[in-house]
Amino acid sequence: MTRFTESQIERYSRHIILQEVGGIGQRKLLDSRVLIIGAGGLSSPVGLYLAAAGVGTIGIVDSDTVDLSNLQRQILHTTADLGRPKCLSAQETMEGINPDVSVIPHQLRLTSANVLDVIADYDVVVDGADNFPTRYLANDACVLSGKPLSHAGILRFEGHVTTILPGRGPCYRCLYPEPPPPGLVPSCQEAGILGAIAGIIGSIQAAEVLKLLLGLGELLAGRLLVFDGLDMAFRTIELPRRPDCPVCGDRPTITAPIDYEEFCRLRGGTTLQSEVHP
Amino acid sequence: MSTNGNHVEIRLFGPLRATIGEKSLSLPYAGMMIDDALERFADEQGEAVRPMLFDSQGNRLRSIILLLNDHTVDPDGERLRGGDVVTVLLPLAGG
Amino acid sequence: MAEKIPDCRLDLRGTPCPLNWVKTKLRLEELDPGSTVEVVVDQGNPARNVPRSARMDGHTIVHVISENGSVRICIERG
Repeated sequence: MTRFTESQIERYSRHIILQEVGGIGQRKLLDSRVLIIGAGGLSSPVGLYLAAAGVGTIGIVDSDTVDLSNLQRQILHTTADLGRPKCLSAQETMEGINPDVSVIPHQLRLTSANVLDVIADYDVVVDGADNFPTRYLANDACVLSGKPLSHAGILRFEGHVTTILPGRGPCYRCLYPEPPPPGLVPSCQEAGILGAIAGIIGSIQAAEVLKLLLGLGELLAGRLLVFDGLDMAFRTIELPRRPDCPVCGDRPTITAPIDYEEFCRLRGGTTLQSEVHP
Repeated sequence: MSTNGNHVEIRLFGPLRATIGEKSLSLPYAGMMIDDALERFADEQGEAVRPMLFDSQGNRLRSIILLLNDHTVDPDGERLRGGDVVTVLLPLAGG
Repeated sequence: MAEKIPDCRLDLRGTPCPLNWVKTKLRLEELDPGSTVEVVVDQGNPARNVPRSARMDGHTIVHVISENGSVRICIERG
């Protein structure tokens, strides 16, 4: 009991009571480091629940400022935060929930030049991005670094979630080997999103991350959870790792992070070349 | 699984569902190879749909997940039978 | 039969539910299987809840003794 203060014992009592968690599990969470990419719709419930759970170090990557249209679903931010950098607003909310948590804001855009450095100090990465270039970058960097990645995407009333365990199951490129042509798949900005859908899917991501850190249950590794919010229907689809996956396959052609624009330029050829930045 | 003679169900999600405006369509594709069925589908559904499934050279995009009766499709191709369910998943960008 | 002497004691008088069980559980986590801790709790709900929770968590209750308005519960780590 010298491991926790009185206040922590009370704060985390509902975790400690769980046979599957206990004080040992809570200590694991406090010692864990999770990076959340994006401070938007999916990242909001992830950030809130991981902070509440006592994940000791949480990084937030976002270069944008809080916009009025964000507030419909991005529950990390309030009206008073309009115009503020989103990662700082997120930091304030999350540390306000739980002073045990240290939130590290990364006010930048992920690129092939910085992604490996940004993720290096973290145990798990969460993809809460709103664009394909960043998603593929995050996937490739996590596979190359051997770090687990929680992936999810949302649009209108639907969502997808999966947990990527490099070397043990499929990665994002096993599911979607190439990004769609630019402009083909709309973002929430173009097609809209029911705010609570972000909450449902992001909360699933948060639960997956906690299960991963605690070593509990079955993860969505090798499975894609497909959610239809209009029906409230959940379906899981088993998806295998591809032996010919360009980044996690038996003979990878992607051996360093690659930027989307470069990827599209090379799409005409049959082999992918990576661009290595010094 | 009910057999619907020569009809298969095409289940749509995400951007395809948003563009076509339906969650699923029952179409007379039984007996066709799945790739041919997808070609016919792209032809029939209007020009907004084709670029979501095929590139300008007519190759199926490697940014879709195609399922036959909830299993990934054999790369050698499969022939559709009446009552089969084909699911087409595009990646969702939103976050 | 002589009462078992526990390996350690924990005074949880005045500690409400569920914190009394939470603190008991944290102490048990630090023990080797087979070691014992005797917790002292208030009568009433604490005296009912702590043994029940301990059993559900896989531990064994060695004795429950009411004494001077409190209850001593000896628990063996499972």
